[in-house]
Amino acid sequence: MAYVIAAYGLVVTTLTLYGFLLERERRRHTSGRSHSQ
Amino acid sequence: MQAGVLDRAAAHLRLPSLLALLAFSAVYAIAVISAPEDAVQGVIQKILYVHPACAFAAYLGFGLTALGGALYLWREDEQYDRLALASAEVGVVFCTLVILTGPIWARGTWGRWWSWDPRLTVTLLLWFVYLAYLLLRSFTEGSTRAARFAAVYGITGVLAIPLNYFAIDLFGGRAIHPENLGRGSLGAGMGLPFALGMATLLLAFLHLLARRLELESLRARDGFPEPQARSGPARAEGSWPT
Repeated sequence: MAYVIAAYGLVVTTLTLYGFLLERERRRHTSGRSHSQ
Repeated sequence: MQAGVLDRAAAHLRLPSLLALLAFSAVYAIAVISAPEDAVQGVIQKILYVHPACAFAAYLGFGLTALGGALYLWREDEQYDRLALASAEVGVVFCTLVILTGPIWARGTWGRWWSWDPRLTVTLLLWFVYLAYLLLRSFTEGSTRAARFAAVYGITGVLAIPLNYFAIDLFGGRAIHPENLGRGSLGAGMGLPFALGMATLLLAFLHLLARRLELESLRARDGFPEPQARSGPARAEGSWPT
């Protein structure tokens, strides 16, 4: 069972983290643009 | 930079795709938990509901990299180059998950983390091919010449996908990786979690691809503005690096 939890945990954590980083980067770009205007 | 149809679609589908992904993930989790245990492998067989789905998402990413590259060479529209780059990055994320979840299953089934089996070796090769693509793009950001070279590289690299998929058939008896799934190869009650795994990971791929595409569009807009939109001290004509 530990192997199954490890595999699914890895997939969920990686994809969530990647999505979070993309969203953070997007907000950084959009907020930077609104400040410059 | 002009926003293309792909950029607009990516921005508009942000919330609907996230909600669909969350709904599918919940149903998928219930289906995996309630799926019957395999008589031979036991509970570790449940990794099957995520590992091949990640592989198909990676294939799709690399396929879209080739398609985006081909469309960029044909139409010379930057939105296709952004599609190629975004697809390659998301594809590499999913390919990394294939390379990580596979050994977890192998450790529990074969008793070892890795084997230089044809499928495993070609998967590692595929991962390196697209990692090299991303490195090339990161070192040559904004260069049209590099984008053209990357398009050709992405089109050529996609040849590794059929090699990866048919590696078991091509190398016959030397392969220890389980065969590709065919009709009737899943036991009773295993088809639904497998199909839901494919659908959920495909949705996750499309959601992340749309987010990555949106980000690439913002980077292109901020990093390479139109000449009339440039601000700050003016540089002498001809002083830009060529």
